Amino acid sequence: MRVPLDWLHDYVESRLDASSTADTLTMLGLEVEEVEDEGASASPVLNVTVMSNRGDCLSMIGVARELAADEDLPVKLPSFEMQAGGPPAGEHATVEIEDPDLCYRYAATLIMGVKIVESPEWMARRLIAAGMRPINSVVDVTNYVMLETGQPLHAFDYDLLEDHAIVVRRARPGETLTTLDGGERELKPDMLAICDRKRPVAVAGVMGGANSEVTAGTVNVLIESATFNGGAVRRTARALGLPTEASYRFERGVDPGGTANAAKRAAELIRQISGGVICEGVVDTVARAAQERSVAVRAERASAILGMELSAEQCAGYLRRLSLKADVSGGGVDVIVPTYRADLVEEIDLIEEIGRVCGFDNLPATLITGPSLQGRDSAQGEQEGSMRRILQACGLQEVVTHSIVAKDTPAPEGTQRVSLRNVLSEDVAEMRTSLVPGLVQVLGTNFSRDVRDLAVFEIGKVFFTADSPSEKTMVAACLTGSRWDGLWAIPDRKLQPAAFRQALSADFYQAKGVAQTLLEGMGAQGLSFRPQRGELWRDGFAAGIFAGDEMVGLVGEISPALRESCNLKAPAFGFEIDSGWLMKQGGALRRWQAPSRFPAIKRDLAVVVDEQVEYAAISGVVEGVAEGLLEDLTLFDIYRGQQIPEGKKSLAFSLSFRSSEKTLTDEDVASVMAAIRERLERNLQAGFRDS
Amino acid sequence: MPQDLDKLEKDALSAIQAANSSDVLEQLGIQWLGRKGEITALLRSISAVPAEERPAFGQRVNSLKNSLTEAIERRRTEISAGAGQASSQIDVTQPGRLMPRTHPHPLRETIDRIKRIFIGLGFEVVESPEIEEYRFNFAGLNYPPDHPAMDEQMSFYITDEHLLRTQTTAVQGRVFQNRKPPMRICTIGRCYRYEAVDATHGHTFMQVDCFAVDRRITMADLKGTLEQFAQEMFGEVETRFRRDFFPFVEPGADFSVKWKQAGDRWLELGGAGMIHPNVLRQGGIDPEEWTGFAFGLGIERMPMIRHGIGDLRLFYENDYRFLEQF
Repeated sequence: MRVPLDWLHDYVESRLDASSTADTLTMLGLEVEEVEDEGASASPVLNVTVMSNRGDCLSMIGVARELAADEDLPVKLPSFEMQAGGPPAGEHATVEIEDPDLCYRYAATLIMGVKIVESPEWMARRLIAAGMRPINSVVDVTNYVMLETGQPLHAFDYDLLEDHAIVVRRARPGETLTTLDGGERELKPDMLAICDRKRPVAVAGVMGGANSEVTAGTVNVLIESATFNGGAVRRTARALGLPTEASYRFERGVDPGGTANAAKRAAELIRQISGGVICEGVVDTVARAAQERSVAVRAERASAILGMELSAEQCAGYLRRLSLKADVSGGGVDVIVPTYRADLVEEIDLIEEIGRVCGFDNLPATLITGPSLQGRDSAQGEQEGSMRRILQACGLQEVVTHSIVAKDTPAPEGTQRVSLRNVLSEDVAEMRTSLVPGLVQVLGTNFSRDVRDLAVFEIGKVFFTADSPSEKTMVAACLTGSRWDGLWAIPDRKLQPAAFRQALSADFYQAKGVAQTLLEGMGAQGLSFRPQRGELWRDGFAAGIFAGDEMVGLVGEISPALRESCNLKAPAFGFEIDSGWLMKQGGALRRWQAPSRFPAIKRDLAVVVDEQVEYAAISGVVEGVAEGLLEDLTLFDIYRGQQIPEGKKSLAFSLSFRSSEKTLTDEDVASVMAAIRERLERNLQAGFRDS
Repeated sequence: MPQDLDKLEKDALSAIQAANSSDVLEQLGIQWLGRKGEITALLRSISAVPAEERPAFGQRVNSLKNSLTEAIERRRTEISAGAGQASSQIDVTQPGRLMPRTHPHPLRETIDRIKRIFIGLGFEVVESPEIEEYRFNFAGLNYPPDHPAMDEQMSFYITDEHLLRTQTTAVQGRVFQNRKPPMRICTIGRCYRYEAVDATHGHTFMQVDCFAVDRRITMADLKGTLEQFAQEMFGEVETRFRRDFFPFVEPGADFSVKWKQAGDRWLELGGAGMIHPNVLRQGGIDPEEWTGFAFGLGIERMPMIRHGIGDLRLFYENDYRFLEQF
């Protein structure tokens, strides 16, 4: 709300300048976003953000009350008396409230014989400073009094009201109204309408109708000042797409005790500016009377909440500065809350007011006392920390990508997506089902900026619909380009840098290697990799990671379609693993085992098998035969070519044997090697390339 | 005679400087300063000097002695510190072969720092869902139906009951379901609001939410805890604690910092307050017996302030040239 400082000073004689006023109000909770100060020609204007529970501060008087409380000054209210000269208003207009659940009170005043003119300069200037456009001498008064008191008002052309009657009721099916902004509005039966004897003439609390508008030719005026149900006004304004100054105030609460005063204040200002005669009295229909609330405050409770010692007298003192009545004769503080402070309902609300007037900046700052508690990270947080450390040690960069993704982002098969009901745009439409597309997008974005060697990972949530919308945490990585970090020379001259670079380029086995490092690092055991298809992966170049029969992740080459959609013009490889499963793999505390004291013996073995024989079949045989003695089995070369028959491949292994009980002899190892060969020949029809 | 001493000093100093082991240095020490060393011999020879030159000669020899003693000491320190004469066998300025290294994502780095601070203050970190139920995100947090307070929390809805949480505070109701006070809880994660994206707003942001419930928790404790946090996160920083409204706290406040390096403006970190008695009651906690504070702070703001980052979108774009700066 825009608050011209000179207008504010009508109600509180503050000596603070604009900037100090802004600071004071901000600390009290009325945040002043900016001060417009155009020098001596005009009053400075404060741009105040009013908290949603303080509808009373959507008025000059409300803001003045806050300032007065802080400075301990009185509030000067305007006169709410009107000089009536006409017959009783009740003889010329009637008001009926048919729906008292939506309208608590409706007060009307009548001014007869007005002459519509331009508003006086002082009023026009204030309205403009407060952000409103002057219209005419009657409408301007209703806006002026609304800005002054916070009570939205509406002026009807009395002569256009059928039967001079106001009927406050829910709209009937099919009723429409052309509102003052020219829009034709279809009213729904849950909307409250202000009607005359026949038809709607205004949408209650939102906007008046063109059919009863005050125009240059208007002679007699009916002023509406009413209290409507804030929630209902909010729903109606939203349904019509018609937020107004009036609806904004009703949503936040309008003083039910100030209804008649605002109607009288407006009538008197209209008489002064536009002439005419005010009809005696107010047609005031009250469905639910406003009541001052009494709330008891315990000084010791206030002290316990605020963390500073306060006596009942001190508490009462602070509250009185807010124009609340506070009585300490009963030992505690008995407070009478005026009707305009709908936010003050219970003791805690008043304790806040005590703290506020005392000043939050005057509260002490302490740390929690009493028994101390053990601080700790969540189990998941600790496990994710472990994953992060492993992946970072592998040279992968952590990234954070959005979990709301574009419509129809590729998803793993069989995943029921979680879609948003209210999408922000096509690009912000549904929840990610996999981390992989986001990571590919990161690689693509970097690729287009000439950062082409990159390996990234993310730990984050993905979303799916089971019985209800659900989420789980995944860990995923994506690699492209080479991990060759600009080595300027290789000790072995036979290896050219280009070859070295090639050797360190991302491929399936690099991605699998990182995945295995992570899996083993987190304690996962007994996993198998089996060919697997997947929407995100290139057909024939991906594997499922299986724990028994449960697939816990995928590793593979990113599908060309996915990477092209991300403008990634180089192959990329990655994996995605169910983090929830992975976190459970660590299991029991590890028991220490003494490393063997005896030396190791190494042997090489080149196994020639049919092309379709998998590595796992060979390693399975070797490990099975040499169990207990085989310390390490390393594949160091795969050869296909002239030295061996077509359709065959040669896998060269380095085997390391070690016993925990004795020093192995050459004979010991020779007999194991012979057994391995024999079993490989028998089971896999393997041949051997002996060097 | 003085000329001889100057030359002697120059020769001795260059010999000392050339020494590249402490053994050599030891020898030089004996040669010059030892009991049978040259300096001692010079001092003994003073009788051969004319009487009127003796004081000057004595002074000169003494200063020579001091100068050599110092030079040997200095050289000894250099040698033991490994600053021996550079060998020209290799070009030490050629780049090392770098090992793979990665950089903490600024959001992750901030989250880790936040966790360390609050764990140190006795808070326990709990996990919390991003898809939240209306009752935890709003109803249980004392939001009246059809209240404009929800305008600040424009939400992405999934079903009638489910939405993307707009605030990590939603975890309170979940924790109250299965824990009894005293407690100090911290949760960190993504929140979502239906907001168009620009340099300072996003539809997604990260928040840290802490709350403490105990027998004597006060607003002063809240203020002190937040001030402690700010000092740990930013170092020397001015803080501000001013009235603000959130339905689930009363009294409610917002918390801002003013950091010289960030233009000396107030930068709001988030909302805070004493947990509203209605929220405690809904959680089955008697507000007469227990009191509590709660606060929720935006996380992106912190690295933006600390590193002077001007655009929120950089965090989620992951340009490596941005990330490698951290």
